[in-house]
Parts: sequence; structure tokens; C-alpha cells
Amino acid sequence: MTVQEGAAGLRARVVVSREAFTLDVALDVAPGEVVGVLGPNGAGKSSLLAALAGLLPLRDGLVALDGEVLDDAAADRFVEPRHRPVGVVFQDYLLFRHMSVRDNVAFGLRARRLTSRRDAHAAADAWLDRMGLAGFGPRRPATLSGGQAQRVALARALATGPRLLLLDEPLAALDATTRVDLRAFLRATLPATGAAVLVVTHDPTDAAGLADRVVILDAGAVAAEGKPTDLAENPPTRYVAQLFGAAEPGPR
Amino acid sequence: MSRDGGAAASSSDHVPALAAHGSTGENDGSPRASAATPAVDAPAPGRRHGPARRPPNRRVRRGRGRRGGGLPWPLVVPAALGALLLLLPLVGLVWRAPWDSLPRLLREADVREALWLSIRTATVATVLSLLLGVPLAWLLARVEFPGRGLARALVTLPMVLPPVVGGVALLLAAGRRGVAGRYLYEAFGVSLPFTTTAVVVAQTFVAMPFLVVAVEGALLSADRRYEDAAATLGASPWYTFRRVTLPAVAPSIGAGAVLCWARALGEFGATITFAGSLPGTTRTMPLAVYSAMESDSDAAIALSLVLLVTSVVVLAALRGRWLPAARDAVSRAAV
Repeated sequence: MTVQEGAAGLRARVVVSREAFTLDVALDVAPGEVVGVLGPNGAGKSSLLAALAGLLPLRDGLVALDGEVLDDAAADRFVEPRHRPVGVVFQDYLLFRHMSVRDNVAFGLRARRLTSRRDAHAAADAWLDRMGLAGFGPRRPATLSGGQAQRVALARALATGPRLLLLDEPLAALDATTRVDLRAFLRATLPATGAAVLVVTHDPTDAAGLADRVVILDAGAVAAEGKPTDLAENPPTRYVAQLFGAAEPGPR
Repeated sequence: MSRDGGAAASSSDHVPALAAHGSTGENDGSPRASAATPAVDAPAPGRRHGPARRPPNRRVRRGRGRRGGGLPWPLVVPAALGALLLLLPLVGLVWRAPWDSLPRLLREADVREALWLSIRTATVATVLSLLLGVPLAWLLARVEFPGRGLARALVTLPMVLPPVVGGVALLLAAGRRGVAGRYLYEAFGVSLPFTTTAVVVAQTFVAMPFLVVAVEGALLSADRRYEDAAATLGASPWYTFRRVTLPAVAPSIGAGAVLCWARALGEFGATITFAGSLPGTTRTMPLAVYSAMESDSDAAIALSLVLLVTSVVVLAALRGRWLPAARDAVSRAAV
């Protein structure tokens, strides 16, 4: 499998091992495209995100973003997570609890010393505004609801202008109503960031509701790939059919 | 002292423990709540069953009324004797205190000198322990290097080593003809023993492990994914340490510093061996108590009272503000 590293967006083949488990996935995401990664627990979704963020080095393969090689196992090239233009929204948000919401969102700008403290705060407030959280700046993360915390985490990840955005189960921890609201919010917000977006979820409804294209993982490999509607109407395997709740498996 | 603190801390006060945990943890039910600080979460079951019998006086009354006859005396008698052994000397100290002449005694020049010297040296030793001990704790908790287990054990050795032995060792290392002290003397003409600096060094030697153990434990139980999150946001390891890691373990650093200060304040064995007992220069409170016992026992009692009150205040501070972290620190220190 070869990777066209020169192209825009994410071009990756990720091979990572954790104990007995091996993940081997090839993945392309265009700028502005939202790709859902769907699969059961243990399918390797979180390992995939960790590898793309640089938190887990590749055993084999290559990760390139807008033509820049971030990780190349063969060439011994590895860009540290902090030098990657990659934003991550973690499953349980991981907001810094001792900081205000504003300082959380401004963290990346301050850490990269891109702007002065005042400008970073102004940028953070602007992001909170776009997330529908105007006036939440002085609050502490502990006082937020799940949906609010998720949007703060998204603002924090977007504030540094990532060209690849990774979301790990963004809707899993939310109650049903918030989930529907936030799904619609993400559907409207994510493509507008212009970044290549990868959303990991175990829920086909969320994947269908958020993503332009879905990649289905099973036991560390791609089981199917395509538009959510196509996959639901015409599931290529029994496993995909079960995932989308179809009664009959489609033609193989 | 540390064992007293641990026993006292775990006997009651579940509510401040959890309240303090809430304010430091601020965990809105995210999954890492339970993983973060197991030692802090430990009292939770006690609290869950607690409300029915939590007010201590009600619990005692019920014990007497309903089950008093059933208490096994092979446990009760030694328990009472044990409590007596711990409390009686303190009662005796307060009882025998020369309350009338206390203000005069505490105003005496040598008493004030010893008190001021003790506060100064213990504070400097604590600051030194913070500057060196927090990075040391970080190294032991976060960096894998060969012999880390051994280094961990050696760092905590001063907690179980007889302080006099520590004093002898310091003398052999930093004395004018010592392993390191020789070069210090030859190069700079500096001789450490029997100076106020020697007091600080002796106190740091004995007290810093308390801080290291407290902070190291907190670092080990802290959720490292926050550091991952900081890295994905572009933070350097040093920036992450300052802005993310350090605030997360701040309560433990506070508790460790208080323990460290209290231990430094009470330091006797290493100090008298390494620094001597020179009035105004190296005669700290415990040394002054010891020398006063030979001449003026009223002064010794007065000084002892000051140290006792200080210890009580420290204990109260630990229980109120930093109880969960302090309990962690105390239980680790007691191992």
C-alpha cells in the first residue's frame, strides 16, 4: 500500500501494535471533509487517533498532512505531537480543571507563544462566541454541562488552527437531548473549519449524522468504506449490516 | 508523629476530605474521577455508610447503651493504655507548665533567639526542599532510568535512618576534611559544620524525603492524559509541567511542604551532630529544650509548649486544608 504524501489533507497508513492487537488502516481525508471512523470497542479507533496525534508512534506506515510527513516508520521521521498541526477533542474532554474556560481555550495559543496574553484571551472569547458559549470565559470547567464542556474542548482544539481535527467519541458521554443538539451543531461547524476531520464513534447514527464518509473498522482493519446512506442501504458484509441495523446482508 | 497524623486523620472528618477533594479534583463525574487518586477515594465507602452513624458522639452513646457489654476487653484495655501512653505525657506537659511566668520566659533573649532561629532555618530548609524535592519527585515519577527503584528507596532512607547517623554522615561528607567538604574548604575557604547553614542542610536532609514522597505519589496517581492533551495543543514539556502538572499536584505539594516544615522544626539528632548547639547560631528550639532541661526546667517546658502548639496547628492545617493530600503523604511516609 502506498501513500500519496504530496496531496492536500490527511494521507495515512497507520500500523500500530498494542500487545497482541495490531491495527492496520489506510485513510485519506480531504480538507473540509468529515470522515467517521466506526467500529465496536477494541476495534482500534482510539489507537488510530493516538497514532495520528503522535501520542503513539507508528510501527509501520506513514502519516502525511497537506504534503508534510509527520510520521514515517521506514524513514525514521517522527514529528512530536506539539509540533503537529493536529487538534484533538478527547472523549472525556480533559479540560484543565484549575483554569477558567477562557484560559483553557487560550492554552494552545499561549503555549505556542503565538500571541500576547490579551490577544489569546480575545481569540478565546471569539471562539467561545462561535460555539454559542459567549460569557462562559470566566467559568470553571467543573460548572459546565457535558454538552458545554464538549464545545469548550472543541474550541480549545480549534483555537490553534489545526489542519487535522480528531474527535474521540464526541457524543458518547451526553444525554439523548444534548446529543441531538450537539450532533447538529457539529454537523454545521466541523466542515466549516476547513480542516480534515476524523470523528471516532461506536454509534452508526452519530457516524451517519456527522460524517460525509464512513470507515468501518473491525479487528484492526477496514471492513467497509463509503457514504453512510450507501452502507446502510447496501451493506457489503453481515457485520456492516448488523451495525446499521439492516435485516439482510447485501451482496458481497 | 506521622503515624499519629495518619491515625487521627482517618478516624473522622470524611466530609472535609471529600469537600477538599471536590475543590481540588473538580471532577464533574468524568470517568477519570475514580482513577485519579485512589488513596483519596478510599474513604468514600466509609462515607457512604457513614451518615447513619457518623456523628461521633452518637456512635459512642449507642455503643455504650446497646453493645457496651459486648466490647472485648483484650482489645479495649490495651487500646486505653495505648491512648494513655500517647496522651498522658502531653497532659503532663500542659499541667506542669509555668503559666504565670510563661510570658516572661518566652520573652527571654535566648528563648526568642532559639525560636527565631528555628523558624528561619525550618523555612529555608522547606524552600530548599521545594526547589530540589519537587524536581526530584518528578524525576522519580516520570523518567525511566536504570536503578530508579534503588534511587526511590535511597531518597526515602533519611525517613527511617536515625537522625544522628544522618548527622555523622553529613559530617563525613561535608566536614572540613570530608569527601566533598574538603574541596569546598580548599576552593572557597568555606567550612559548613557548626554554622547556621549546616542546620539548614541537616534539616533538609531529614525533612525533604517527606515532601518528595508526597509529591511523587501525587504525580504517579495524576492522570497523564492531561499532559497528552497539553502536548496536542502545542505545549512544550516544561510549559506543560508548569501549567498543567504542577497545579494538579499543588495540594500534595502544600501538604508535603507542611510536613517537611514540621519535621525540620523538630530536627534534633542530625543538627546537634552536624551543626552543634551554639546559642544564636545553631541552637534551634529542640536543642534549646534539651540544654534548658539541664539548668532551667521551666524554660524547657515553655519551649516545649511552643513546639507542641506548633504541632497542633500544623495538624489542624493539614486536616482542614489539605486533608486528602496530607493523608496520602502521611500514609506514604509511614510505609
